[in-house]
Formats: sequence, structure tokens, C-alpha cells
Amino acid sequence: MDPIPGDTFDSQATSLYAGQVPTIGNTELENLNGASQTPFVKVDDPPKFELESYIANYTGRTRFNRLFLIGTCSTYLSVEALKAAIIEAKSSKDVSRYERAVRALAEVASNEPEATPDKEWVDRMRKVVKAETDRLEHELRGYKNNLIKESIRMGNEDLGQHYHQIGDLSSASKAYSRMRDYCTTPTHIASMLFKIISVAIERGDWLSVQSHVQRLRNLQSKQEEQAKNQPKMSAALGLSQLHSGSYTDAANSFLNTDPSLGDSFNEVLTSNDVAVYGGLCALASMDRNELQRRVLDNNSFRNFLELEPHIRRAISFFCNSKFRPCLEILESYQADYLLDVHLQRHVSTLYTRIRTKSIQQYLIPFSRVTLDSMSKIFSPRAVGGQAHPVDSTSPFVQELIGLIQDGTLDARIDLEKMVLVSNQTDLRTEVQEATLESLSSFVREAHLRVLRTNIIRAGLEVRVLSDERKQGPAGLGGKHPRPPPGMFQ
Amino acid sequence: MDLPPLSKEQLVAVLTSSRSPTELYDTLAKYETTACLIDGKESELLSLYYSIFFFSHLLTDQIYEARAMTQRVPPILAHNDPSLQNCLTLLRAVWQRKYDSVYKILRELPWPEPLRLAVESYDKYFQQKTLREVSNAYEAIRPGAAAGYLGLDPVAAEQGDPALIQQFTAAGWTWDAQAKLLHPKPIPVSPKKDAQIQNELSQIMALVGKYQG
Amino acid sequence: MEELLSPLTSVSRRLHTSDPSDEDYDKQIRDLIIFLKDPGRASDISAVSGYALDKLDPSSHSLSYLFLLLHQINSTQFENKDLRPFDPTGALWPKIVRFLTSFDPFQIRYAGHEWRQLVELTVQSAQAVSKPLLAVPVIRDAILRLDPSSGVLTSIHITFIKLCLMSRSYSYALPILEKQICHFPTATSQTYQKHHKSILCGELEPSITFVTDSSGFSTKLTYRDYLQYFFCGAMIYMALKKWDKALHHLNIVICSPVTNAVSKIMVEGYKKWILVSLLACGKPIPSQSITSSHVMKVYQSLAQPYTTLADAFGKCDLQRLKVEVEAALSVWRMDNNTGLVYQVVDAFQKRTTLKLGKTFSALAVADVARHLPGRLSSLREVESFVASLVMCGTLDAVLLHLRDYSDSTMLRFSGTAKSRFLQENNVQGRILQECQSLRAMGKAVRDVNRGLELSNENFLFLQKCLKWSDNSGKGGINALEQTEGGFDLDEDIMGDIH
Repeated sequence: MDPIPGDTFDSQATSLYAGQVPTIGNTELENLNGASQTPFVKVDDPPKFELESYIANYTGRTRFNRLFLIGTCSTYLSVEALKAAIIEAKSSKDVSRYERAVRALAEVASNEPEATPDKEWVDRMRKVVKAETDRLEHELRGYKNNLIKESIRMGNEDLGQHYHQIGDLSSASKAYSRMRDYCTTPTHIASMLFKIISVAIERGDWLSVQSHVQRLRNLQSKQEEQAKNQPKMSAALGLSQLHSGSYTDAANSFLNTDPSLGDSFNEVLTSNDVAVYGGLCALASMDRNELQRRVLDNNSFRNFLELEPHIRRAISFFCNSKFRPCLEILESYQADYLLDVHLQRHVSTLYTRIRTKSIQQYLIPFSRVTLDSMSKIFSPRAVGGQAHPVDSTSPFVQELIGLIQDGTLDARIDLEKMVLVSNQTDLRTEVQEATLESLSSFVREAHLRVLRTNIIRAGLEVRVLSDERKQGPAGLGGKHPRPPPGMFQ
Repeated sequence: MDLPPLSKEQLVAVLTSSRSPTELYDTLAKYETTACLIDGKESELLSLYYSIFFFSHLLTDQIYEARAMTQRVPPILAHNDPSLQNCLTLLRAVWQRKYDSVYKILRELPWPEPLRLAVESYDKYFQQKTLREVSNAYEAIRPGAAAGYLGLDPVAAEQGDPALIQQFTAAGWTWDAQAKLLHPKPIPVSPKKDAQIQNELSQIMALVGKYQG
Repeated sequence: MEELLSPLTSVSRRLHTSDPSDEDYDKQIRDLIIFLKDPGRASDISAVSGYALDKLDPSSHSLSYLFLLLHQINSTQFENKDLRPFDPTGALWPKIVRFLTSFDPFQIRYAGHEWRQLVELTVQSAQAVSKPLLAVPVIRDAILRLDPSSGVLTSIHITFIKLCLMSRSYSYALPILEKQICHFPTATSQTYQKHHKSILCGELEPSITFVTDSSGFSTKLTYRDYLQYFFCGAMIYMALKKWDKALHHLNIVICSPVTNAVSKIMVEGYKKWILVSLLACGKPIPSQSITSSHVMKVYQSLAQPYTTLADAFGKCDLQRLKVEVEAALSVWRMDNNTGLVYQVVDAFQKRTTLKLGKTFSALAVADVARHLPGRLSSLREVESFVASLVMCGTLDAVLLHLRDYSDSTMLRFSGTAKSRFLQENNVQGRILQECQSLRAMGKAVRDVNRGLELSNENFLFLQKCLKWSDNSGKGGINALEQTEGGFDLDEDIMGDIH
């Protein structure tokens, strides 16, 4: 049933999780259905949320996807979440989901009654689905013969919806796309585009999300219509940018999302999610000034932040250079974010970026800082038990060494006095060196060119000389079946 | 200008009369073609010539060329002559910066009498050069290590032998008796006097003088 | 006998350039050469040669002396019925040496063939007794006497450089190698030369006026000759571990213009170039943009082990570096690069230590040891390795012995320890040096320009332009003006440097 096999995603997921910046969106054609088959992260800590109230925020197919992800990743909530997922699947027409959820539950708790598949329901549902598909296809053919535009559009819409419900996402997307020629009003087009976007998000086809959001934006429609669509567009766009790893763009899109979003997009994300995604992306990509100006002082985004006050607190701690509490908040919510269907793969990268940025921001005012005071802020656990809190082998110093070597920090470590010294640039010496270097390389290259000119003028280019032409190929040809072009001593 | 014929006496004369290592090297380099033509039977003269020539390389810090020179010595001579063999051992030690063996080779191996002067002056030269390098390279050094670099008795130095310590303080170093550490004082390498720079400098000084009043 | 001496001494070294004037002196010399080359007098001259050689001063009557020497050598060979080169222990040798180290360069400009003959004979005789070193200082002095700028490549240069390599007398070659070769013997087939005869003995005449393809100072060169010269030059610099200069010479080899073939010397040069670039710069460097892409492809296909080695070096991967070195041992041996490869491995250690200065401003030697993978096993060895780097000035740092529980040693990267004054002085010296080479290069560029402007091709082109402007009335004048001024050509040559 699955349009794209799950393992295309797995191979990327592992590399992503190693902390690398994800590549451009179009290469990571992920499939949320397939993705959850083999979880690539195990979360042992209990999350802060309560499963029931959490999932109540969502509607539609994302409920199952989220439950399934939690069920397969969290050791703490797995049984509860998977049971809920089975119930969710059984209430829909998607048989493959049901089977997957049952399989997953069988792995963690084979004794549960729900872990044995309900064969009777499966067979019945398959028949129902088949009949429904045939009926809709037949109806559509009938409309097409009658050439009534509106009927064809609606026929396709029904078919798309049906495919979407049974989990055949590529067919759903095709059916929705076929509506285009039969749309007569901008409202129709907008509704069609939203349907396509929704399927694309579930498929993880982020490039398609971006291009369809673009189309929505170019649509000539009424003012109030535009205003109604804007929040969903921005949120969808932000989501696709988040997945493509362009966190700055994602932050901007989420920040631009109008608070009127409310719960209108609950089949994909909630306003709480916008606050979290936008806040984390902003923290990872903006400096303190920008954060203050564009996030904290942003009146419309404040509405979102009020839903997730800890994100707001983390950002304001960062702005006030209180990096320890900021990082502590983020650490305490790490389990939650690792169980989020969209954040999971980006948590590690985002956290690393925020941490690196904190270290950078922390160092700005100092010309030298003791490693001790730094590690109290950035690596407090290491300080606890050890006699020598920081020495050259401690992980924090290793981290600093890595940051210096990849050029993130412009500083050097003094292991004698245990301080980090920021580099002083000696402009005069640098200019002198650069001048001398360019002078000598100029002279060298001029020499090469003058020689070259004179060689050509004297007719001394490397060529096959007449005496070699007689004997050369014979001698060479024997040994090498295909001698490199013109190889002669 | 024709050179006086190559002989042991002439070599000793060149060795004693040369005012600088560069002069010694230049004079000896001119003799190399002559040495080429000398019959291989006069091995004593050839050995002395090549050994002194070798030392003149070392005294002018041409260590790579010194190696090339040892390869130019007629092979039979190079393999059988003890003095040239010692030169090769010395070259290896200098190349690898094995200070203790350098001094050992210079001081304890049997060098022929006419070569003594060259050996001794290289000993002195090497010591001075090392002193300069150590002074610039170390901010604090244990007396034992310093003595090792300069070919002095490391054990006595480590115990703080006043006579040895005095040798270091004479070079401007300071002795921290409490920590038992020597603090070398960097010896600046005097830059080559460049006539043009001096000239420009005096012009600037003249300008300054002119506009001051 | 005496009556022959007087014409032989008719030309002597000019003490002042104006006395006699260039024109008169030129005529005197040409007359003397006609006299010396007169086949009718050959036997007479031969007969007196032994006697006259003792009478003449080689530095003053250089031309006569040279001809007499050759006569003498010929007759000796004739007498002995033996065409072997003469014996360096014989009586003639000192005379030859004296001549070659003291001749008057202005007179010899007229006798290129004879001069070269003598030089080649000298080389052959030194080689015949397998003491190539004998000829090295003599030939070097002779080359520099004839052309103190040594800017034109002759076959003698190539012979000389090979001789130096063969006799392992590397630093003897430096006075010649350090002069930048910019020219090749000028082609005399250009039309303008029929209308313009420069006076060879003129003091200010550049060497390209008297070292031409018909002057005899050089045999006809092929591409192989000049490739060999620069390749051997690079080898000498490598032996003396002057990596920068070696790199430049190899650059010349690998950037040579090609028509339809790539020379094996260029390929060998490319292999060495990769290794030397690691030694000179401590990292793989991009090759010169002048090299055309198809040549690059040939290089890359034939120097695979070298590029992978350089890659491992650049990625600071000691493990891979060692594997690559081991894997291609036979390749290194076959290409005679084993020594260089081992030096590259050594340089890696050095490089890693130097790079520590970018990350740390001070660290204990024990920490250095942790970052230095490899064969230095004990702390003591690491310390002496680091100390040697500091002491020879490669590493800008100071060492500190501490009196703590383990008597550890601290390495401090100083950065600003050097005194400002010394540094300024140093920089100024280097700038002056660069200025000199820049000036020399400027002169070479002007010479090239002049040659190009006066070349047949340029005249043909100008002619075409004229015709074209005649046909089309106006508009051609601009084109003419553009090509006429040397400045535009100058820009053509140097245009794509940046």
C-alpha cells in the first residue's frame, strides 16, 4: 500500500541524527507512514505531556501518525500510545495502518488482547474499501462522459478524499491534482491546493508543499479569503523549511503566522506547535538582538508564545545572556520534542546550534575566560564529582577544541592557566604577510607566463618529434593496449 | 690568482689564518677541484682536506651541502678513513639534534692532530649556537636540561653546582634558587645591516630634524 | 713567430667602453676572426700555438687565446692518434681553466661556436676520468662571465646542471639556478634583423642580442632540453630542501605549453610537484590555472597514488597516510620518490604540531603527545621533537620547565614574542628582495614585448590591418593603434594572471 518504501527514509534518518545539517528538502522524500515502521530513536524519559490531552488537540490522520511515533519511540508510553493508535486506526478505513499498529504492539506487549489482529474486521474493511473505490471510479467516469465540470471536480475530490482515508497517498495526490482543470472559482482552487498540501505534508514531499504554497500565494482572491488562508500557508511553509534544514527561513515563516490560526490546522499542527517550532528555530538561527526584536517584542507571535511559556522563558534567558537556565529548560523538554513527529529528527541539530551559539555569545565580551567558569555554565554535570573539573581530556574541552578547529570560535585554549583566550588580530602583520605573499606569487606567475610566451615563440612546445613518430607508437603500442594520449619521453 | 699547492702545511695555514668560517669555506671550496686530481694514495692529505672542508660546512651551517660533500669524497677513502667516518657520525648527530652525542663525538673521538683546531672551534660554535637557540626557545629550563644542551655536566648542574650556574648567569640568564630553575634571556639575532634601510632611516631622521625646529 | 703574435694581440680587452668606440672595436674583432679562421693560416697558427699560449694573456687577448687553445687541443689529439678528450692532469688543463675563468666576455660574443666547443671538451674530459666535479666550478664561472644575468637558456646550462646533479655538488649550481631563466636563444629568421644589426660588443647589449640560435652558444634546443633543465634544477633544490624554489621549478615543468603530447618529464614533474607542495606548504595546493585541462587529466590518470596520498595528508589522517604509503611502496621506488615520500610522512608530524598553535595558546607537552599520533613513544621524545622545532625557528613558541610533581614541560605559543623592530626589519628586507625580482621580471616582460612587436607575425598582422583600413576607408586606424602600442600586448600577456 505504501507509495514509497520506508527504508528510503531510514538511511537518511541515521545520518541526520548524527547532527548533520539536513540536505535540501527535495532529496529527503520522507514518508511519515513508512517512517514510523522502524523508530530510529528511543526515548526513555517520560515526557511532560499527558498523552490523552495531547492527542486531543489533533484531528484527522495526524492523530494516528503521532500516536504511532510515540508508541514506537517512547519506552514509557509505548503500550498506551499503541493501543490508542489501534483504536484510531480501527475507526478509519485504513487497513494497513491497523496492521502496522498491531504488529508494533505485538513487539512490545504480545500479551495484550489488542496485539492479535482482528481478521474479521480487516477482511470486511478491505471489501468495503474495494467497493467504495469501484463506486467512486465508476461515478467519475459517468461525470466525465457527461462533461459537467463541477461534477467532475467533485468526483475527483471524493475520490481523492477516499484514497487519502485509506492511506493511498500518491493516488490521493493524483486525484486532487486532476481537479485543477475543473476548478472555476479561486475558492475552489484554494481548497484544492490545501488538500494537495495536506497530502504532501503527510507524504513528506516538502518540495511539493513549498511549490503549492507558492501557488496559493499567487492566487487572485478576495482580501478576506487571503487573510483566512495566510496562517495555514505560513505554517505549512515553515514546516517544509524546518524539514529542509533551513532553520532561519522556517523561523521567519512561523513568526509570520497569524495567531488567527487557532485550531484551524489541527489536522497538521496546533498553535502550540507553531510556538515550539518557531521558537526553537529562532533560537538556533538568530542573535540576541534579533531574538529580542523579532520574537519577544513581536505582538502577534506573543499569542503563540503564551501557549508555551517555557519557550518564551528560554528565549528571554538567552537574550539576557543567562545561558544556563535557557539550556536547562531546553534539556528538560527534550523528551517531548523527541516524540514530536516533525521535530524528532531536528532536535539534535537545533540543540547543538543553540548550544554553540550560546558559547559564542558568551565569549563575545571576554578577552579571556577561565575554562572552569565556562564549564559551570555549559557542562555543569561534569563539574560535580571530579577532582579536576576541567583538564585537557574533559569532554567540554574536547568540545571547545572541536569548535575552534572548525572555525566556529575565534579563540585559543591556554591549558597552562586553564583559560580560553580570544584571538587578537595583528592587522599590520597580516597586511604585510598578505602583501608579500601576493607579490611573490605575482612574480612567480609572471615568470611562468613569460617563459610560456617565449617557449611558444621559440616553437618549443611539447610535441611529438619527427624521430619519435617513427618508432614511438610501435614501442608503446605493444605494452599498453591504450596508451594515454601522446605519452612520449 | 693561482692557489698555493695543496699540502698539509697549507691546510693548517688556511685553517689558522682564516678570519671567518665563510672565508675558510670559500678558500677550501676553491681547492676541491685540486683535491679531485690528487692521487688516491695520498690518503692522509685527502682525509685532512675533506675533514676540514666538512667542518667548514658545519661552521657555516650548510648541513645539507655537508651531506652532499661527504658523498663526493672518493668512496674508498670515505669507507676506510677513521676521521671521515667520525665526520659522518657527527653529521648524523647534528642532523638529528642529539646534543649529548654531538659533544661526545667532538670531545671523545680520536681526531687527528691537525684537525683539532677545527673540531674545537666547531665545539665552541655549536655550543654558542645552541645557547642562542635555547635562550630564545625556553622561558624556564631545568639546569640539567640546559647543561645537556651545552655539553656540560647535567648531574652537577641539576644539583645546583655554583660554578656551572655561574656559566649560565654569565650569559644573562637568571637563577631561581628556590624553584631550581634557570630563566634564559633571549639573545636577539642582530639583523643584517642593510645600507638602503639605514639610508632611508637617516633621511627620515633628517626630515624630522628639519621640521622640528 | 713574432710576426704572427702581433695580429694575434691586435685586439685586447677594452679598459674603457669608449676607447676604441664600439664600431671600431667591432670591426677589429671581426677582422681578427677572419684572420684566425683563415684556412690558409691554420697550420702556421697551429705551429705557434704552444709558444703563443704562454705569451698571451687570456683575459686580454681572449679571442686569440681561445682559437689557439682549440688548435692546441686538436693537434694533441692528432699526435696521440686518439680522439679521446684531453687529460685533466695534463699541461693543457690549467690553461683551459684559466681561460674559462678569466676571458673577456665582449670578445667571446663573436666566437660562440668555439667557446661552446671548448666548454664541451672540458666537460667531456672531466667525465672521461669520472670526476665530473672538476668541470663544475669552471663551467659555472664561464657561464656567468659570458652572461652575468644568465637569462637565456643554452645547451651549456643543461649540461652544467646535469653535471652538478651527477657530481652531487648542489650548492655550486645555485649561482646559476638563482638567476631566472626567461629567454631562449633568439630566432634569427625574423625579417627586421636584416635591417638592424646590433653591435655585439656593446656593453649595454642584453644577452638576447648575442645568444641567438645561430650564434653557436647553444645547440638547437628541444622541449626536452628545457624541461630537463628545470626538472634537474628542482632536484637540486630538493636535495638542499629549498622546497619553495623546487616547487617553482616544478611548476615551470608541469605548466609547459603542449601541442599534441605530454612529455614523460612533465608527468614525473607532476608527481614530484605533489610531494613537494606538501613539504613546502603543508597541504595540498591547487595546481596552476595555466595547465590545460587535458594535460591535467593525463597527470591525474598517471599519478593516482600521489593524489590519494596528498588527500590523506590534507585531511590530517595519519592512519590513511601510512596505509597509502605502504600500499604504493613499489610505485615510490619505481619513480625514485621513496625519499621524498618519507619526508612527507615526517612533515606530517611537524604540521600537526604547528597546527596546535591555532587551537591552543599554551599546553603541556603531555597534551601535545596526545595530539601527535605516531612513532614518538615517550614524553621525552615528544619534548625533544617539539624543542627542536622551537629551536630551529619553525615553531613560534617557547618552552617552560615547571617544578611540579611530575616535572612537566609547558609549550606556549607566543604570537607576539618577537620584537616589533626585528619583524619590521625582516619584512622590509623581504620587500626589497621581492622588488628586485619584480624589476627583473618587468625587464623580461619588456624584452618579450619587443620581440613580439618586431616579429614577422606582428608585421603581417599590421599589414593586414592596413589593407583592411584602406578598403573600408576609416575605422581601421583604431585597430592599428591598438596593436601598435606595446602596452596592450603587455596586458595580453599578463591579463589572466589574477
